[in-house]
Amino acid sequence: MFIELDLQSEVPIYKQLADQLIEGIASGTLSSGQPLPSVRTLAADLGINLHTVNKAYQALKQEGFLEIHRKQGVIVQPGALPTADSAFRERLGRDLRPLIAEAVARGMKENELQTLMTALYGQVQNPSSQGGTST
Amino acid sequence: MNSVNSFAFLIAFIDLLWLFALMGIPALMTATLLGVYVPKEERRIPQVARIRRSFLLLGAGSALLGGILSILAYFLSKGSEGWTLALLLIPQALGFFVTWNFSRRQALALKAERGWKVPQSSKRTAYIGSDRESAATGVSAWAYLLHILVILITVALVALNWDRIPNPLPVHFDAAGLPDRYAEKSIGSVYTLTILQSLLTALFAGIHFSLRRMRQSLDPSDPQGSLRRQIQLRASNSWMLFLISLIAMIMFSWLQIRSTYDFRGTLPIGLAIAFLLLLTIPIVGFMIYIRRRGLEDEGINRRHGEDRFWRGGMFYFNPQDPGLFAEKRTGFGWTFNFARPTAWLLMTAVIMLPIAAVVATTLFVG
Repeated sequence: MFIELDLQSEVPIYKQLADQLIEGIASGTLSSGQPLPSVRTLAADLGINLHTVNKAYQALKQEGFLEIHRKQGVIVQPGALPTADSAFRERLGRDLRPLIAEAVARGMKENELQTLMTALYGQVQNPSSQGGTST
Repeated sequence: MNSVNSFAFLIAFIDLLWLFALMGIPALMTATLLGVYVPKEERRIPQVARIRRSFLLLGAGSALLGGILSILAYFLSKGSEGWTLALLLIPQALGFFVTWNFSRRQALALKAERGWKVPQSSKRTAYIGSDRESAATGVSAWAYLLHILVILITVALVALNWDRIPNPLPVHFDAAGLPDRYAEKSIGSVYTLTILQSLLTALFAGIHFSLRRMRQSLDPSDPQGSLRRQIQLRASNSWMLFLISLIAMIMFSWLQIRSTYDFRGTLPIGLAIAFLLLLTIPIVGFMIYIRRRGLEDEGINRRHGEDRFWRGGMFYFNPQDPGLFAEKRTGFGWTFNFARPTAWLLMTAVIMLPIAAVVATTLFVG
């Protein structure tokens, strides 16, 4: 799996990294228990500050998506992934609200929004680079 | 081949290599002009060619000057090797320094006039798959045990024939292979070459392990292709280094055995030169392989190619970059990041290696 960053994007680098790692886990590209590069290695490979990589890794560790061991290093959660519990759903609702508000303000229909959601869901589960099909 | 002829031949051979490294290689590079980055579309303009030509002409001039001075020195000093070499290499080095600075100033002026800029990409990409460790193909570290085997066999062979080694034994040979210096037979003096050989093996093994750990530097516009090419590049590079070090090992062992075991007469210098020529085979093979696979531009420095990071066009100096090594701007390979103190340490160590070797031989040998 490739991490691709845009240093000039409005999205902070650590967030781009964390988002891509989660997508990797969601699609199964990053498998359960798979080792990830160390903070130093990934920072050197990407040419970014190691604190940025550390921030992304720590954020995902807190959520339960990664485990960081002293010897084994960083691995994808080998056990059960964190669930879509009420705390997550609340956060998701909060994050989605402004996006939906703008869509409504711009005259997007509800079913159009739902189609988009379904398409994105499918793409995340089955990224085209893996040869998966998504409608 | 008598002493004078082979000396002249040796010197000419070494000087040509030296000149090629100093003048030829910078002149062959298209992406930089005397260490100044040239954008792709500007590389064929006549001003660039003119500056390159004048660099070569001035360089040739100083090469010739060195040649004339060294011939004079040879006759005036009545055949002293030291003086001949000194008056050959030093004027040429000084000439190169002046020429480089002069031509580089012209190149910088052209850069300012034409507004050259290094293309900057704000994108970064890296491969994080679980097979990234095994993707570091090439020669396995275990292969370097072969070097140790060669050394051990040499030590054993010499030890078995200890009694047949003359005392005093020859420890220095002139250009025709005739011994001209002798030393008291002792473990140190007999095994001098083996000690050097072991140090060299350590150096090569160290390089092998460092290259293993070198960071990725993928092209964001083609991550897959770039990854594949980098793997090929590093694998072939590790093979080249392995073969070079192995040939050097065998050469040292041969010299060691030949110069101690029942030594009589002269050391065949011709064979030593043949070994040196043998060394060029892996290097040339590597260069051909790179060209065939289109790998020439794969290993270049994508992130810090701006001229301000490259002092004098040659030395990478970037305090923002935590890395100790940085990819070169042209061709393939790595150079030190001289903003890191460790780089100075390693550089000193590498330079001190031959000096330490010379000191060690004089200490052991008297």
